Formats: sequence, C-alpha cells, structure tokens
Amino acid sequence: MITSQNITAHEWIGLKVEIAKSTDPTLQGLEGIVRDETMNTFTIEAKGKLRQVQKQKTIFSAKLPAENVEVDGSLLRFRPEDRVKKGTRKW
Amino acid sequence: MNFMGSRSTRRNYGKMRSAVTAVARERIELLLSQAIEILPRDTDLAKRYVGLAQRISTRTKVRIPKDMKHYLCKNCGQPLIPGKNARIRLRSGNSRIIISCLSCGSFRRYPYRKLG
Repeated sequence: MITSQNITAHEWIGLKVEIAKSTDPTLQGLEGIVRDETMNTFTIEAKGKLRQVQKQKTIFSAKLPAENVEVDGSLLRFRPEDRVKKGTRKW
Repeated sequence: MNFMGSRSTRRNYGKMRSAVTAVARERIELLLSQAIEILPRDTDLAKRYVGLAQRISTRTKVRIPKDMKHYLCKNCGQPLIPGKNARIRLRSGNSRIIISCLSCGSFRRYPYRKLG
C-alpha cells in the first residue's frame, strides 16, 4: 500500500497528482496522471496532453485512495529504480 | 563511511531490507499491471514500464514472480497477452510450453510437469 510514510520510495507512475506549487506559473494547478519518470522530471498526462515537469522546486500533491499527500519534489530526485532504497527512511 | 558500516547500520539492515523488499514487490506488481493496461495505446510506454520493473528487481534482489516473468518478452520487452501479441502452444511430447511473441517473432520454451 502506498502511504504517506513510504511515498518517497514508492511508485509514482499511474498516480494522480496535482501541482501545488511551481516556479512555472503555467504549471500551477496542473492535474493529471503520471505517465513516466526520469531522475529530474515527471511526465504528467493532463487533458490528453503530456507535459514534462521538473521535480526540483515543485511541490506535488498526490491523491492516494485514503488521503492527499503533499511531497516536495526535491525529495524524489533519484532515478525511479534507485528511489526504492534511497527514498526509504533510515532508521 | 567506513568499510564495514557502523554498528547501527548493521543492526538496522534487516529492518531496511524488509521495508525495501515490501515496497519493491508492490512497485513491480503495479508497473506490470499498468504495462498490460497501456499496451494497446502505447507500446513504447509499456516496454518502458516492463524495463523499470526489471531494473527494480535487479537493484533490490526481488524476483519477478515466475507466472509474470514468463509472460514478458525477453527480446523486445513487451508484456505478452495471449491472443493479442502472444501465441501459446503445448508440446506434449517433451512437455514444453512455447510462448511466442508475435510482434518480434521470438519464442521461449518452458518445461511443465504432467499431473497424474
């Protein structure tokens, strides 16, 4: 299950997200499904269009089944396959 | 970082490991189910999802379940859906199941055990 604890380690592809804060005013409030992920960007499909959004200096609000979680994009700046280990909280 | 890792990192290895494998298993499952879903719309994206799942598997030493792994094309990386882009035939003589990918033409044989 994706929870607010493990979201930095979990899969973002397929997740519904909204951009809560961005330095680009045209991206503000963009809402859609994450289709692809690179180390520094997300590709979000919104209204049938693909838009590539940087992770740095962006705050994403992820819509989980139970709750909405706001995540600072700079915490996600790893390659998607590296995020499983690096995104896991250290005890 | 010293060579052996500090005492606390060694003590917490098991906790880290179980958290990582649990997440990795879920991510692999999510990616493969989405790859199958998106295949008719976007083949390249489906291949990308399969590739990501395989890379997560190698990085975290979590195996892709055998029933899923057999239905991923090892040559072109597509998820194989019987009747859509895969053909399945049984060879009862030598007890082999043959799964062929219809988009690239490669095939793989896996043994099966006869019951009874």
